[in-house]
Amino acid sequence: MDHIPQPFPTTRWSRIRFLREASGEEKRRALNHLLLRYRPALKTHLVCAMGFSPDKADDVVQEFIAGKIVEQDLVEKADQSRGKLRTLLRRALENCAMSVLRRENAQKRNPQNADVCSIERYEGPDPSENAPTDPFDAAWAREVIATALDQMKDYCLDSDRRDVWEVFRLRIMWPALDGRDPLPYGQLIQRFDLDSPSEAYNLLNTAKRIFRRHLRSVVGEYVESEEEIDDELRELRSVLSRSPALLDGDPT
Amino acid sequence: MKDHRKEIYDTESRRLARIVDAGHDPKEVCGEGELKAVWKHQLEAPLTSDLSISRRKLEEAQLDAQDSPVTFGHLLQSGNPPLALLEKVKDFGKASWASEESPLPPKIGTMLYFAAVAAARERCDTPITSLGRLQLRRGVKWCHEQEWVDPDTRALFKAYLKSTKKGLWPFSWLFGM
Repeated sequence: MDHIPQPFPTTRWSRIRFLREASGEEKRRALNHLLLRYRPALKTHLVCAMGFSPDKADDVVQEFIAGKIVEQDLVEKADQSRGKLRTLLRRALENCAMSVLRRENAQKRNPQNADVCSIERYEGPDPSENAPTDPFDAAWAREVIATALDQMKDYCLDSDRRDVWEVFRLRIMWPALDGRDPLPYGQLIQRFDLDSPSEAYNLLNTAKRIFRRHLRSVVGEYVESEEEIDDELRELRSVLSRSPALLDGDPT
Repeated sequence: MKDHRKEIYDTESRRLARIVDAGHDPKEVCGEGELKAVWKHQLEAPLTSDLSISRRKLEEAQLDAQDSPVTFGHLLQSGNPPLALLEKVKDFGKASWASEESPLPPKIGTMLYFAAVAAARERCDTPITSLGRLQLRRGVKWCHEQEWVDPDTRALFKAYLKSTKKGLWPFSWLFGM
């Protein structure tokens, strides 16, 4: 992953603003970071909401990134007062995907005139339909959690707190991801050589606090204020609770 | 180490919400089923791990710990525990209700608080709290009823409830006293 080292996760640092102001290598890195964060969501949206095959979705995402995001500076021109970055990316991607379909359809019917537009080939569901949870949002939520955990792990290992990472993994991640029971308390105190419940409690709380900060940091990368971060966290929770099983899993 | 990124993409989203929830509930650390193990660990913990007391004070206390470190269990079961130590234990337990950054699960802190109060009353015949008699009895009764409390501490609570029953209002049982 493209991890930008930080002593501790910062919040309220908008990468969009940074993208606008940066240049050269810094800008390239910031753009790359954004693409890493949103690429899975873009692809999932094409596969699950618009009916593209995974291979075709890869091609469309690539075209979207090269044409809209890089050449046309889509993100830098984004006006955050007019909506979330996620919404902007999703709509722009849908437009791009429709253009690709029209172009390919026109090429098939009239190879000499590739510019004739048609949407006859598009047979997927209407992406504007108000589904319980948009696949794009569901994929975004997964990416947020995965990135927060990546960053938490890096932070714990870099700061010589493997115990904090391990206790989070064994008590919280394991049960959530694998459905296993959390590491029993008796084994926990033996494994980490804890003298008293207050030490165990402190270790667990530290782990949760660090995860919480990293989660806020990741969610806060592309928004401006603490209030927006709180809104995004509520939405993250809501998206995860509403996602039906068919949207689960990596479309790749 | 396992690759959690792949697992996150393979896991049902509702289960991922539990990770988010866990990160947002600082009080939710151990489940009810673990309180017995946590309480046992608390009794086995050296007093010095949680309380700011010097070794000299502990030696003066002459608790029956032989060569091992003096633990919370030693203190609470001692026939003649030093009041100053019981007060420290009581305050340590109380801190678990009072702050978000509490050092203990609240139920363990509550148990510790009332165990110290009961020990002071039963072994030293001295009150170490300003709580009223009925409030104390209600708290001790709650502790006595917890399935996860050890037999020795339960016996201490039972003795407290018995010795403080005299002189109660005749219909106090109606109010769970």
